[in-house]
Amino acid sequence: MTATTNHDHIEQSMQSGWQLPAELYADPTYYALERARIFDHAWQYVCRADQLQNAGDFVTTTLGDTPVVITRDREGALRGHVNVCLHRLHPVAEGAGCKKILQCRYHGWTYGLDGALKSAPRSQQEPDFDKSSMKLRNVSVGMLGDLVFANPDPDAAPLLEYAAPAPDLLEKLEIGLDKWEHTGTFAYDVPANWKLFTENALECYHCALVHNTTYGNAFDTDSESYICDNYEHVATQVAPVAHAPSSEGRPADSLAGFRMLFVWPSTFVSVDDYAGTVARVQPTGPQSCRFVVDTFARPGVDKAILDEWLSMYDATFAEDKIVVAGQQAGYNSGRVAQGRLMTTSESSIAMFQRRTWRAIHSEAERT
Amino acid sequence: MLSADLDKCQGYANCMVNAPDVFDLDDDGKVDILEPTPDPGEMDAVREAVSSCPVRALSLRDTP
Repeated sequence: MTATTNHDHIEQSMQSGWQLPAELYADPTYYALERARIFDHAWQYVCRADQLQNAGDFVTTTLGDTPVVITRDREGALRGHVNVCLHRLHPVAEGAGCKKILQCRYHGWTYGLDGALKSAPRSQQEPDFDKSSMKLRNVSVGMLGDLVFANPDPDAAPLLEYAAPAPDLLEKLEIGLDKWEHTGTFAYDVPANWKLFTENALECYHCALVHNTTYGNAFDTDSESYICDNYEHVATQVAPVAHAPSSEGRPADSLAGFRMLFVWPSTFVSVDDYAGTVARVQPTGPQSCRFVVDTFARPGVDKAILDEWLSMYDATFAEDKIVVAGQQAGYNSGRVAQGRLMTTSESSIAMFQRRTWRAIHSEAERT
Repeated sequence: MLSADLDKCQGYANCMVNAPDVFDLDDDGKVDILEPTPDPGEMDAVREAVSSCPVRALSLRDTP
C-alpha cells in the first residue's frame, strides 16, 4: 500500500487525466478501506417503492458488509434497520414479504416493524433485562422517484441532498418507472474489482468495439451523440436510438432513446423506449463483484420487442463482464501504476474516481 | 375457541408468524388473541400456530 504516501502527486495527476492508482483495484487493504469509508456511508438502491407499499411489507439486502431490512411500519413510515438481532446477531428477517413483526428464528426474539424489541423468551427470568431500551440498529432510508435507497449510516445526509440534482434530472430525462412492470432480476458475477465494472458502465468509448452488435448497434454511441453529464454524486448518459428493434414501426429518430442516471458509488437507473433497468454493483471481494439488475417493461410495450431489447442488454452486460475480467490481470500486474483517461469521452469515470479518492482519503469520512 | 395460558407464554411469537390476523403481542410481549373464534378459512393457520408454540401456551377447543 503506497498510494496514500503519494497523495498530492496522485491528486494532481488525476487533474491532468491520469487515473486512480492501479493498486486500489487489487490490494485487499484498499478493499477494506472502501467498505468502511464508502459502502458503510453511501446511499445505495434497495428496491422499488411498490415492494414496500403496505404496512408490514419488508425487503432485505446487504449494503457493503451491513445486512439491512427495510420495512413499512404500522403507521405507514418507511423504516431501515440493521438486520441483526441484538441477542446472538442472527438475521431477524430473510428474503422479502409482509409481516406484522420481525421474529428472529434462532431464539425467537421478536421486534416490531419500528425495530423495538417486543418480546424475548425467558427475559422475565433475567435480572436487569430492560426490553424498552433495546431496538434494532438504524440505517437511513430515502426515496428517489419510485426507488427506495438505504444508507448503513444512521446519520447520513438525506438522500435528496446527497443525490441533488437527481430528482430534477429524473424528471427532465423522463426516467420514471411508475406503472412499469418488473420482469426479472439478473445477477452477473464478475471476476473484477467493483470499480472496474462500475467505471465501464460510466463510459461508452468502448461501445463501438465491444458492443458492436448489441448496445453499440442499438444506440448511437458516437462522441457527438452520446451525452455524458456529471454532478457531485450523480452522472447521466443520453443516447439516441441508432437501430430500433426489428418490428418497431416508428422511425428511430422519433424514439426517445436511452437515458441513464448514476448515483455514486454503485447505482444505475436507466430507461429507453421499451425497457428499464435498476442495477447495483456489489463488491464481493478485492477482485470480484456482483452486478444485480432489476429489469422493467414500459407499460404497453410489445412483448416481442421487449424480449429482443432485454436480450440485447443481457448480451451487453456479458460482454462487459469479459472485458473487465481482462482488465483485472493488468491491474494486478503492478506494471502500469496509473492508466491514462480519455477525459472527454470518459468524463464520468473522472467524476467517479475523484469522488472515490476523496472518500478513501477524507478525514471526515474516516470511521 | 382459542385460549392462551399467559403464565406459560414467553413471547416466541410463532403464533403471530403463522396467523397474524388472529394473534398479536401485547406491550408485555405476551400473546393477545384478536379472534377467539377465528374464521374457518383461518383454521389451518391457527392449528399450525397452536402446535408450533414452543411452550404449549395455546389451546384450541371445539365451541360447545
